[in-house]
Amino acid sequence: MLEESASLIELPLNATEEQILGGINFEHVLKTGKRKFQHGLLARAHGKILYIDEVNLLSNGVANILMNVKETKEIKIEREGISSDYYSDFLLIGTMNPDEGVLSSKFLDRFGLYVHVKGETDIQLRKQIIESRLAYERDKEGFCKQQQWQLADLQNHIQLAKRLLAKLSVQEEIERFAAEITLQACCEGHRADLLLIETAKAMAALNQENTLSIKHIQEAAEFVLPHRMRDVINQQQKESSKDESVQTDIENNQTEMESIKEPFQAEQTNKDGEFEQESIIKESVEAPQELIDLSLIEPFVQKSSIRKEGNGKRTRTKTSKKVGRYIKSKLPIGKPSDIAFDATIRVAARYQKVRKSNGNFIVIHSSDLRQKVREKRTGNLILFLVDASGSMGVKKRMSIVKSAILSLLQEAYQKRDKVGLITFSNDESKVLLEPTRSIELAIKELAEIPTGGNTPLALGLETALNKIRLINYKDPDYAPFLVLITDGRANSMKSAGNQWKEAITICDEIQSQKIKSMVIDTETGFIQLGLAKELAKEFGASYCKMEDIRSDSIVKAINSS
Amino acid sequence: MVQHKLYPLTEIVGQENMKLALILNVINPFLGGVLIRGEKGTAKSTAVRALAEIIPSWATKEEYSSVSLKVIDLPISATEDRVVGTIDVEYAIKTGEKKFEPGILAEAHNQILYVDEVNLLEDHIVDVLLDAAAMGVNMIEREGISHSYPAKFILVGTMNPEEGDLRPQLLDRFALSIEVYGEKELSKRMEVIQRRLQFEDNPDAFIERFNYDQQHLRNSILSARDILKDVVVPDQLIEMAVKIAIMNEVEGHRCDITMIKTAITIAAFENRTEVIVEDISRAAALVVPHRLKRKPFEKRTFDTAIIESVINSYQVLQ
Repeated sequence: MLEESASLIELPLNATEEQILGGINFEHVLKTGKRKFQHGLLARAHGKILYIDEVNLLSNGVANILMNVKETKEIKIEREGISSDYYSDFLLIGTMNPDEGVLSSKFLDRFGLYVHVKGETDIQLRKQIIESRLAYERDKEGFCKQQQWQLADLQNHIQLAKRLLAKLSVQEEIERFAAEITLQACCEGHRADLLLIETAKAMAALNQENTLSIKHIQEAAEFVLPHRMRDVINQQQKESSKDESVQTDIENNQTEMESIKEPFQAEQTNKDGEFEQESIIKESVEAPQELIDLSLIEPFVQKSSIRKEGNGKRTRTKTSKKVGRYIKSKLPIGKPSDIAFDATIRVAARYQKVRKSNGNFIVIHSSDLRQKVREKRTGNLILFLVDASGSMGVKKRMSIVKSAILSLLQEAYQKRDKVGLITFSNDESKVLLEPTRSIELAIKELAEIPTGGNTPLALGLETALNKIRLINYKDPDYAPFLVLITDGRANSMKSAGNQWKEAITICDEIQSQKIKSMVIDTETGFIQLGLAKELAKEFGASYCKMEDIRSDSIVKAINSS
Repeated sequence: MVQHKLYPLTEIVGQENMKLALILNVINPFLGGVLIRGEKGTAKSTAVRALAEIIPSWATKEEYSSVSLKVIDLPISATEDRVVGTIDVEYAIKTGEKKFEPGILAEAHNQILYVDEVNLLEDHIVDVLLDAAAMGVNMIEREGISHSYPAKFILVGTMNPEEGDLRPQLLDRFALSIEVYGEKELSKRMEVIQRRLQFEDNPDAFIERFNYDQQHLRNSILSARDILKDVVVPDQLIEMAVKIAIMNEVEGHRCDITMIKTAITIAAFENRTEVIVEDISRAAALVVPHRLKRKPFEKRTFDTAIIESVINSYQVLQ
């Protein structure tokens, strides 16, 4: 076993909630008959640094515990016949690769400071990095010895700064400036103000300066604000969208997206408040900077790397199958299938004194059995159903669909989405792209999309419905999302019945299966029948016109739902 | 257990890049693994196992002969308990004491960890794999147990890109990547069939026949291990690696560091103690391709012209 560092505790991703909080020590109970609480990881972290690598991959439960404890510094346990109450105050350090998904804004806020690291671009520096690394690998001890003096210097420097910090006082003028900045950044609550001042103090102390100045606050803002100023951009963006004098392409998309999004919004908030916040982050990303008057905080906007993709969609589901990460245990309902042995033994331990031995050291009754709760990350199954008949603009339509699919797949590994394509034309409906996460497969399969012929709408809808059913049967954790691209006009040679009526029946079926959907209307020209709009109503789907949309906004619309 | 006869590494037709990448990793176990991308039935698994058989584990460097490197499989169906380890339930019930049963990651310490179809691994298994691969340590915080075990392994993964992509974080953990294809040439394909049939017909005779080649390879790997620490890299070649990395717009520094380490290992394998330009360009082809940033609507391609231009600019200077 490796030694644990004196001042740093690491939280591995495999940690269970019980392990983090603590629980009964079953060995002790069995030996002495007395209950004894075994402290969890958080107790060990008290007064130390708690380091989490890949912090964005933590399970929701563990993340929630961390957030609570970081806030209250107190842990209360009531489980397995034990009550315990202890303090844990730690310095939380997390690292993550934003490509793998972002943190919820609530969790982000628990981190005092925020740094975005990038590779160095200076050739000499990069060379030095390689050389140091090689030297270190060749002779670890020797390398560390060489650095001893520098490390000692740094230690002294920090000690000195700590002493200085205690003596620093904060002028009212500084406080006002800090408050002004955070006000402009629309940070929630007062955490940012206080952090700004505390960070500025630490900066002054580190520079061995005796007085706190505005410069320190500015420097501190670079670390304190980037991950907290999401609302400012969002709010101002709404204002600016009314402002007709500034109109950019990006903004156009933005408003388009707003309108497509609205029908989903209500549902979103119902489901989970956090999700909505996450999608706000996402929007902030695309906010055009020139639209915002951020004289004080502008420098930090660019540095913020919460930019890229908000991860509103990726959901974590508690799964019933024996797959996924074991996060905690619970009382089984009915017959337990996935037994959590550790929890079961802990429960059984309490009763050993009064139970008759059956030869084993521990006698386990069925009432002791606990089941594992597992969690799995899943994504959406995004299925495109596209009218490929010989109507006008079919080539363009197909190229837009193709690029939308490829863009979605770019992010598929991150969001755990699968994307597929079904077309209908010429009395046929074909699965052109089996739902997949592979971009290479999509490129190959979509090299050619056959078009032309009549429009068997009902057949297409039926194929899509069957496909969704089949996939959900195999993997119920995928949430289906259907994107129908059509003008709503249906005709077919084979079907004797009324195509439109058949289509409506299947739409109802799709709606009753609670499949989320979206209709993109391709109808153009002077006389418009508005059939696609009607179809959307039948679906309970959101609706938009093709002419208002480009492939990237399809992606945006899907992402925001 | 029946001892399975392994096809000799030296007799695999073609797939030179794959063989090289694997050999480099056993010469220098701190290189960081290899990802093999490509079709099924291209001797991926055969090569990995055949290599392990002839090479002693570096943990037992002193007594070369005895223990050969093991290939520990991480099946895609593996559960987290098995991967990171778990409490020994039987022991606990019988004795009332906790005992920890180490998992696959701990077993793979100082060995090859082989993940077939690594792109199909469950997400949470990838997470724990990342944790271990980053630090060379397997940390456990579950089932009333806080433990950490050393888990330094050569990570070898295979995947068919048409079945889904690898997560970016895991992709970057693989030091090298190579693409394998079935041979396109008729005569080569015939040779593959013939050798395989000969092997299956009489494995012992086949192995015996190529024993000399195998021994030769083994010896050159072992002597490369010995001189590895003496290989020097001229200053301007480090700069060259940096420029290649910058021009390919790769993220972070792992690319340049790995490129140099790979070049050093190639030099050692060729029994040289100084890295030359060619080593850098060979290393770049193994290190850069899977680290290229994806651009929308493009298949990722690795442009050798960039590397050539960097290299040429140096040769002009000299």
